[in-house]
Amino acid sequence: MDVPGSLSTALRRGTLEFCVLALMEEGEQYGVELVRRLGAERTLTTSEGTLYPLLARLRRVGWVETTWRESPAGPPRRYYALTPGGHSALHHFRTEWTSFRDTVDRIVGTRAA
Amino acid sequence: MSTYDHLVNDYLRAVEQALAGVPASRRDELLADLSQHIAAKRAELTPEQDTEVEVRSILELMGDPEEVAAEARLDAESAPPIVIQPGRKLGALIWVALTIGAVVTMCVVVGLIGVFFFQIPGGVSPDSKSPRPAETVSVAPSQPPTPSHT
Repeated sequence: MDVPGSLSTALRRGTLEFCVLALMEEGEQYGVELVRRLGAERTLTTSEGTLYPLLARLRRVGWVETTWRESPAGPPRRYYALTPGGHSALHHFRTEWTSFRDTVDRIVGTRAA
Repeated sequence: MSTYDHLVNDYLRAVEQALAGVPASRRDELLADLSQHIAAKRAELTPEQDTEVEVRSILELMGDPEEVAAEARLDAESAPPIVIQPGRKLGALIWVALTIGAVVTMCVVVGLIGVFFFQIPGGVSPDSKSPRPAETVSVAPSQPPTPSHT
């Protein structure tokens, strides 16, 4: 815990993948766009490159599936979509997260007024 | 487009080196993902925009090669941490079932022992009598010499 930023790393671990899943909830997403959006979130302090191992993990776990599509311009695009397993994982996270957050807020004293 | 390819190649090589120890299939998969991402972003640039500054800024957004590799290594070392979570509840249920099972078994065993102990003093059980004839029989062979002497 002596490294600056290790707190954000620790907080990110276990939550970032659900942010990724949530972005796909509305429908399939172009991978590059997905990664760009998350990389631009300053609070998440995640670089675009580190999101690819995470996406690969989500593929392997079977929460996400990918499809290649031709692009009108440029190379073929890879699209990411939630599987039924991904949907239920996200649903499960939402309930866990809500009670986790409430408990931390209560103990740490960060509950919104 | 090809003018600054060496910058991209240098970056990918740095990631590849940092990925030592990660299984080859995952390493290749990640390198392909990264290189496609970079290619896609460069394809969005007009020829005039494809400058060293732009390419470097694309690579900067990719992040430190060590950091990217660390994320992949973390993945290779441990199984996905979240998969365990739904399983944990199932595991808890199994433990509850096992505990209940153990308690029930203990009650039955204690009950049986109790019944067994109560039966022996009463001498109701035929089992408590049968060992005695067996004992006398086993003693018997040592006895015949005595009568033969008398």
